[in-house]
Amino acid sequence: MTTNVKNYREIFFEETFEHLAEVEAGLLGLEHDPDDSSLLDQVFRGVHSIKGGAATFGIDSVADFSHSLENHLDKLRTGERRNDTDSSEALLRSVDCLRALVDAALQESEPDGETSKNIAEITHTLAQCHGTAAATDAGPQPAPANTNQADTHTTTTWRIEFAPGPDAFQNGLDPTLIWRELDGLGELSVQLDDSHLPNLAELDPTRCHLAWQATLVTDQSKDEIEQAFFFHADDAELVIEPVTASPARTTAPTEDSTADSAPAKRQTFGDWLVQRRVVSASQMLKALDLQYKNRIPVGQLALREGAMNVDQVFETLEWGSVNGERFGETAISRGFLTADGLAKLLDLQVHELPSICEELIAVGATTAEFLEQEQHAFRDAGGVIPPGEEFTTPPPCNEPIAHAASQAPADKQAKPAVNLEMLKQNSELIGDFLSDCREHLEEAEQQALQMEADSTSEEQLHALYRAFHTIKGVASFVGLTQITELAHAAEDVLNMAREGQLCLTGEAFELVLASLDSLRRLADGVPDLLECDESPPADANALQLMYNLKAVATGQQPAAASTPVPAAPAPVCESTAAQMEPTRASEPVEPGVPAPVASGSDPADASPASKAKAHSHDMKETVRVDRSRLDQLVDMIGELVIGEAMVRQEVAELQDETELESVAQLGRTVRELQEMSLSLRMVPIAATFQKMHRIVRDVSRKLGKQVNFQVEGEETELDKTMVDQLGDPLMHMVRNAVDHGVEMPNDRTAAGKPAEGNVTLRAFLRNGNFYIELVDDGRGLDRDRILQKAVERGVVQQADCEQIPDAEVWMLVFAPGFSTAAVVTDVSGRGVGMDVVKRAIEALNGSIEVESAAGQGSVFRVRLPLTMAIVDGLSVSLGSETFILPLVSVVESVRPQVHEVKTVVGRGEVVQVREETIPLVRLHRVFNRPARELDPTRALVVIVESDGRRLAVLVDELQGQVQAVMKSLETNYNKVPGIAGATILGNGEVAFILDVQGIAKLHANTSYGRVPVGNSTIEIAREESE
Amino acid sequence: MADSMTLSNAPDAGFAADGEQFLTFTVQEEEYGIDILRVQEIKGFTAVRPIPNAPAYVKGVINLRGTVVPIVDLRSRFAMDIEEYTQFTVIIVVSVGDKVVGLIVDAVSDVLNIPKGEVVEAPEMGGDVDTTFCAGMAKVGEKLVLLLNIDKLVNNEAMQKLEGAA
Repeated sequence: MTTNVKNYREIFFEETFEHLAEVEAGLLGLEHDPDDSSLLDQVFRGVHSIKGGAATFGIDSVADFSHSLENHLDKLRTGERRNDTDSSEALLRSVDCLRALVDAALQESEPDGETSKNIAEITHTLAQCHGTAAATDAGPQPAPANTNQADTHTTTTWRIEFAPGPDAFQNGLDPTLIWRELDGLGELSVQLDDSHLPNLAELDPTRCHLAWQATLVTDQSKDEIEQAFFFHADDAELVIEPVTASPARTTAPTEDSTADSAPAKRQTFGDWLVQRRVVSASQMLKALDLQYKNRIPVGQLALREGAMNVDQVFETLEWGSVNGERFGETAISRGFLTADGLAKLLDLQVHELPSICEELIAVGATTAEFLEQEQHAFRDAGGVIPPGEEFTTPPPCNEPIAHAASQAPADKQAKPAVNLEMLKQNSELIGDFLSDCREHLEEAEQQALQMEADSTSEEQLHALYRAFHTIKGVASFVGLTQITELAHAAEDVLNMAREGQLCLTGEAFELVLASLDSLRRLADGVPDLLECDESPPADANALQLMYNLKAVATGQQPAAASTPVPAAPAPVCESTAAQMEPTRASEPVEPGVPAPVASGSDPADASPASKAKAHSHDMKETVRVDRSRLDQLVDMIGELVIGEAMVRQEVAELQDETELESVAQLGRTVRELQEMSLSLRMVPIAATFQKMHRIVRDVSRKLGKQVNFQVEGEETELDKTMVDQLGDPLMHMVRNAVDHGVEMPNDRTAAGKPAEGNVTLRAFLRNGNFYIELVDDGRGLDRDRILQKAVERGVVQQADCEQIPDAEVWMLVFAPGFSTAAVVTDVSGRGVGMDVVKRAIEALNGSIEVESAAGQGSVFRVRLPLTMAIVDGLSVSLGSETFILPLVSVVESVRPQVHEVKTVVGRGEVVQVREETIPLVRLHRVFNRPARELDPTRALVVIVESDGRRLAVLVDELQGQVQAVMKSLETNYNKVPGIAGATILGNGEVAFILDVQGIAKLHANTSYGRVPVGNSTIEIAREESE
Repeated sequence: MADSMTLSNAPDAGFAADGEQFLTFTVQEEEYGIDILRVQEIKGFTAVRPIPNAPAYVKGVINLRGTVVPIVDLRSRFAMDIEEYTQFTVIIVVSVGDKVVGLIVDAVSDVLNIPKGEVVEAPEMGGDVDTTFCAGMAKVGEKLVLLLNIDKLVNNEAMQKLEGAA
């Protein structure tokens, strides 16, 4: 398990650096386009993920700092604060600080003093930002959007007429409560209207024959007054009007006038049952009570319908329980819901009440059989049973969600299950996400099951937590809002369990398991989403889970979550249910919903057919593999290639046709395998290019230059090792281009160029090589200055200056310690840069060349082999040894005529090839090795090229072309001048791969024209004897 | 230095708790020892590919199952007479830091447990006798074993000389 933690930690660091790169890229993008909210979101997501990860691994410094950044970013997102220069500068700096913090954490050391100082400064800057922000936006919306409070302070006299329906008492009406409540609102006088009271003989004591009239002088709104009648408004006639105004009849929103006018039809199934004494009145009341208890809490409904998000619901719940407010009130006063929205939710709550029949059975009042009989009887008697009450019918469930979602109130708070736009943008990541997600879920499930066996195990708990946490992070990144929220809710619960605030048993544990299932279902549905054009409604199941998880997290049992919720709407349910109003309860209701988890439906389940095509969508799935394992694989395949070559050689000696064929077949497979293995290490150069944006920005800002930086071909792939090593040299080059290349805006305009300079970084493949071009349209290299400097440093002679071709002059800038900058800035100009560049690129077997035109700019072109691992080479023999010349540097091979080999006094030997005179390098002499053939006219001369210069390398013999798997000598030994590396030949022997540049250097260090000594004397003697 | 009871009587029995195990070998009839934990393998002599311009004692490189391993000849490292390699000549492959290096020796002798107390510092020889790569000396039975510090023997010296050559 500990290794697992370590793995996670490694992944965390890796991911954090990725996130940081994204954040940085996003911030830079924002500087160009401050209003691009998707960039801002990208930045926010990055910081958020870092925060989450850091918190998980207990890296507090990172978590705290990123948290404060996140706060600031959130303010930017909501538009409370604009991302001006200060803020953007601070944010960019904070990326550096974060990186330093993460680095420190990675090394398990303390961040250095400078970082801490920077962080303090940034925090200060950001805090100032907030200060001003708070000051500027004191106005916007202090009051929640409750329009009804507009007339709060004017006192009005209201006339109230209240005539409850005949069943009112049965429904639990206690008029004294209403009047008492109204009395609390203001000055109340009530008159009883008992004119409808029948004779005592006819009086049915269970029915209500009374009505009331009242006047109320109050400063409260009409809504407040109505509130008192809220639970009884359904079946009552209620008039509330200001005494001055003309009477306006107010009926409860749920009232149906046709039902009103036809009281005969209003007898409900419940009434029927009581009347026929199938159940007793008290049993019926009990059942109603149960029905009320089993109603879906408003908060849950709000969540399901997308009217509120989880956080809002819980804020409301907490707030409500602290202040003793009702859920609805709180939600409205906090602006989460509109009054209208609440009404709709309450409506919905009534519609989705569990069937009274179920409850009757549950309280043991009757049996299913009886009920069914009674239903028939009731129908025959002309009664209408709402479909939902029809207890034998299993209710379909999709409708209410779709229906309510479409009219979900307060749309701005509604969160769709998926940010579809984001999802589509990230579609290529979805494959990754899903495979990750499934992996995590599987892991989580295993851990969960182990935990069940041993609930004290902390390791499992941590693993479980991490799984949810990771899923959450990634889902938020790709825009899967609902997965994010559900995982988040589960994570919260687990976190509490981790901190010992909660025991993960029973209900809580079941919920976590259910969340796993739900997440899996949601994840399975994701491929379908990619093909949708509209964001699908939230998954009800997941919403309920979220709700219950939150309930657990806030310390309530899921069922008890309803307690603080709808004290207000409750009686509505009761009364309506008792009425079982035929016209209203038309919405289907799930049969008996003791566990909210089970209710609702799952879109994924609903469309099994769509699942079949789910995977038709083109997804790029990837696997994260340890780098060393990959290298090992590539090495092993390299060995296989060698082995194959050995077999081929032996078979060739046998001269067996059939075997040759099968060996050839094997050879093809092996080579394909090799190519494939090499492509495994290829990654796009994009990550390295990305860093350059920041450098250009910082440098140009510091120098007061305007630079338009473009990147092209960033998707071009290169060996990962090389990509990693290219970062530094490229940084130097880009810095130089901005510092020395691009002129100051004034100078540019004076030269007739736009004030903004252009710098382009371009990558492309050509002829099996990888090229990087850095193009600027600046002033170009200054030939005279470079030469002057070179003369000063004694690199060239004053007299030679005129003759040196441009290309060679430009190469002088790569000489160590060479800088033409008039001012040495802290950006560049110390002359350390370019020779580092050249060395780094040469270390990668690459080369660099420069083109420049005064006043028009320069082009620095870097050429690199695609991979360091394989070298296409020409094998040559020298004595009994074999050397390999990289094919890229080979121009041709010749056997010169006697008159073509000349000795230039003081300049050594040269070979005349056509019109060109090329210095002759005797490899045996350079390497101090014996050779078989010393006469160039009888041996072989290979013309090679490096850095634009040609050399004629004298070897014994040409052997053939080989593909060599490059093995570094530095692994176990050291760098050897003139040798790029070693490879293993088909016969198992080691051969060295030559480094042409190194050989040129060795050759240059050998004194020409000197009388050969030692070995060489012997050579000459031998030469003569031959 | 007193005779070691343990070792003189039963060289391969009863390893002392504080002792270290050494692989001993001979070079020109002299007995040397290296920490056995540094030894990766012992293999017979195979053809070595010479490295151009390398110091004389770096004989070259071999292919050790796909890894290119440099080979140091201890005779020439110790500036002794060069002899033809025989059937007893072996290459001891050792790890030096994160590198792998092969040492050519005349023959491998034994694995000895030498208690820490038995090891004494190598005396200053003076003159041209280089003892910087000696970790110490131990007398085992009749034989005097020179314990080598292979880090100093191979790493520093070899690399420095090479850089000088470059």
